[in-house]
Amino acid sequence: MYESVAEIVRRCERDRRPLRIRGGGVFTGEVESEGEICQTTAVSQLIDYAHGDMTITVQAGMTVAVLQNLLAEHRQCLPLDVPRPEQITIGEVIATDWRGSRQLSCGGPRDVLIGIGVVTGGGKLIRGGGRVVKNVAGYDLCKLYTGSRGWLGVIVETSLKVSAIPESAAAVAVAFKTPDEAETACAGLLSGVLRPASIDLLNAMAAEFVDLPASPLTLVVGFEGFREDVEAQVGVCLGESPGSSVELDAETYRRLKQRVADMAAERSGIFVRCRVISDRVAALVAEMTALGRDRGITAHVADGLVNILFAGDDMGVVRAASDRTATLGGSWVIPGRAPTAKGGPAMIGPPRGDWPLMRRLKQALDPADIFERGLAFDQALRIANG
Amino acid sequence: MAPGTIQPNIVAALERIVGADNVVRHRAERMVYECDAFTLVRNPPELVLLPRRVEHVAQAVRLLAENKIPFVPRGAGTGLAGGTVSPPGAVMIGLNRLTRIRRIDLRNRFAEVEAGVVNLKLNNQLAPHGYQFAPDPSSQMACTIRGNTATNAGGPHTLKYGVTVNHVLGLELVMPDGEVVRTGDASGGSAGLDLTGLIVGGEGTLGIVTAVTVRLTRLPQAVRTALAVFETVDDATQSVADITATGIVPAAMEMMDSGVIEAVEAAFHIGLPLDAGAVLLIEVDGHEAGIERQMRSAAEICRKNHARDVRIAKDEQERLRIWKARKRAAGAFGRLTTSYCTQDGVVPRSQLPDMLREIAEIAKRHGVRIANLVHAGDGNIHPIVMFDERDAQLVRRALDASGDILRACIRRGGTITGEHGVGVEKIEYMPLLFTADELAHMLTIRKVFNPAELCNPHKIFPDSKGCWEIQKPGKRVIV
Repeated sequence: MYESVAEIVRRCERDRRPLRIRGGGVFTGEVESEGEICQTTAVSQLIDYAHGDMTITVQAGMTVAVLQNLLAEHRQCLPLDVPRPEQITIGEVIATDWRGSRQLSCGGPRDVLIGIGVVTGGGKLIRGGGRVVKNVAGYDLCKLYTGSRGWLGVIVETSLKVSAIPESAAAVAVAFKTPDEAETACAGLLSGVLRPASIDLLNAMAAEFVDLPASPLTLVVGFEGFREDVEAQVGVCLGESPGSSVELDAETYRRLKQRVADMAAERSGIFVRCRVISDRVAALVAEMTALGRDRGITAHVADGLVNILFAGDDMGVVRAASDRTATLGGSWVIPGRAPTAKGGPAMIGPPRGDWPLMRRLKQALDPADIFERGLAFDQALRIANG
Repeated sequence: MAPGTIQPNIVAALERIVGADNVVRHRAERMVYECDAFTLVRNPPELVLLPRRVEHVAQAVRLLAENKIPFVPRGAGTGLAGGTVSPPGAVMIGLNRLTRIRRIDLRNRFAEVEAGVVNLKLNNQLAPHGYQFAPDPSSQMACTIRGNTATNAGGPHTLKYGVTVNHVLGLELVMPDGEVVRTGDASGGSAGLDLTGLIVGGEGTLGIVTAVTVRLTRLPQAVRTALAVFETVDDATQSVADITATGIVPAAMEMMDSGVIEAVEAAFHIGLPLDAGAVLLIEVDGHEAGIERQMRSAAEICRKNHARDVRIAKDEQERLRIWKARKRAAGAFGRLTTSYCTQDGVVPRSQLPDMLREIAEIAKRHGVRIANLVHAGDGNIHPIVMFDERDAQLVRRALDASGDILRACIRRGGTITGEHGVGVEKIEYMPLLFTADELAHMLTIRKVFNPAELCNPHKIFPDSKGCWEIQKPGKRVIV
């Protein structure tokens, strides 16, 4: 079934050429790359959908939109908020471990992936996990390959556990003047009786981007579930922040989450995703806003994910974000192609103590070093100021 | 390494590293460590170290590695697959004296705990603050966080809250050469490969976990627990399917068949009906507003599927009584049998009725008695296969029945272990689940971490050097 992919892998190994893996191109874009392209959108079939068991197995080149449409026929969904669902493939989502607004309540790709098929060195098809929701036989290859960015092989098949489409959804948008106020509200939400599905923090530019009033900081608190549950929690949330808050209906909330996710797919500018512990998020958002170089900053507060869309292609300002994140003990990823990187793959940082172990895994599983050669695991970020 | 051949100078050096009080030398005392809860494979380790500090673990491992002595990490020994049984000549490193809770950060919802912290002890410390470490295996009053990460432990509340790996943010690992490495971090993920996710569930074959950064989850505002009584297992499993289809995500759905009911009643006299085919424990939790409707819906579905009775616990005391029946069920089997082994297969949930019917046929075919505890919401079955360990024929029949159950799980698109691990018990079934290339791929991964294969050797994968054999009951294992 995946022989065409296996053939490309074997060819690259024979010729010692790098292999670039491209799904829907949401992160990879159209940048010229050294090496051979493996276009996974050709493998996009449904393999098995056991709607009674709430699991589905699809080839990695299927777009998320097609997947969601299949699931919607049985009132089910994959509860991941991804950029450009009509374009991004499920393989791309898994390979980048893309985490969206509902990471708080539904988890991310690593939590919904239950089985994986990968074409690895020698063109061999390796499967890990399976089609059941609990499985501890052997090593967890699903975890190893989630977020691996193509560094260890080509993801060709995924088995996923899905959820029922919630009966109801709504959100509350609350405006704040300072990061301290926003952080106090976040702390209260996370420790109180409410159980939000998502807690997103937006700076003024991002609020405008998603058609909200442009306050310095806006918290968007989403709720999903049974109708009376959502209504009750929205009521409590509104009651705790009168005057500065507004209710968003289900469709507005859905559109807002989508636009937040879509920022990552913006072609002009550089998108950086930082990760710090939760109580530093509001401060980091404010600091990065103060640089005055962004087109919008959003954050999934509970999970410490800060998404910054920088204007232009100045890697110097990206360095400011990455340095500050590292100072706060966090990590960062540029999931797309940085404009001054010569068509190379994503950059990540800062270097960590377990990177040598990752390199040894890479050397063992890809001895010919063909899969996304040049991924910056073992090099400090090289920035060429434009 | 042959038994009894650890040089006295090495023993002395290990005593200097961990402290003489933290070394178990005498054979009678080492027998305590000869097996975990899978009692069919036993071998006392050559020596048992019980270090109190991470640096002592690292120094001990370095010394053992330099001298090519295999070693086996162990938590509380509650494992059910022989994951911590010692091969001949090995030193055991018990982590149960690494018991510090180093840090609790409620705002950022994480805690850093040493490997020997007992699961329930951590939860007792978190509960007054309104938090929990969600994985709740039935052994949680004894099992350690180290053991939970080794097997990627689950428990009844896995259905809603996930398994251990969904609640581990980072690890402190002593590598098999003695180097200390940290993976992940409190923010829940560093850029790069998910080594944390790879190591969790590695059953101690990739290194020794000495500390874990765990995710904390808020305790629910409201909980409702019910016990539904059914004439047949089919009615109970149909209820599970129907409840799931409504979009309700119960915190737990646990089924016990008539064999389990008999054992539980004999031990605890809770009041379960002995003539029932099955009982289903259903728990929903969350915000107060939605709870009543969810429990009402679940109860209606059970009645629609011919439930004889649906009792919703009226207070916390009754709720705890219902849970006692479930959580202590395995321990109740001492009333019915001298020995048992608990299988851990998983099938797609829709296959549960047929799978349980097939288990009944397997039991009849092999002339053994099997009762079934089921994490019904996620298709994870725990057939409890009863036998008398003193009778070699009964042991053989129990093992054959267990094998048939696991093969049936694979045939139905499932797996051989949902939360107990492969250990030694299920090594022979791994080639039925994985191709030769897939096994080789995983062994390549193991070689990166554990090149000399000294850390918990001969576990999980079929081994060309030999295999665990259960000879006669009571006879020591050979490898």
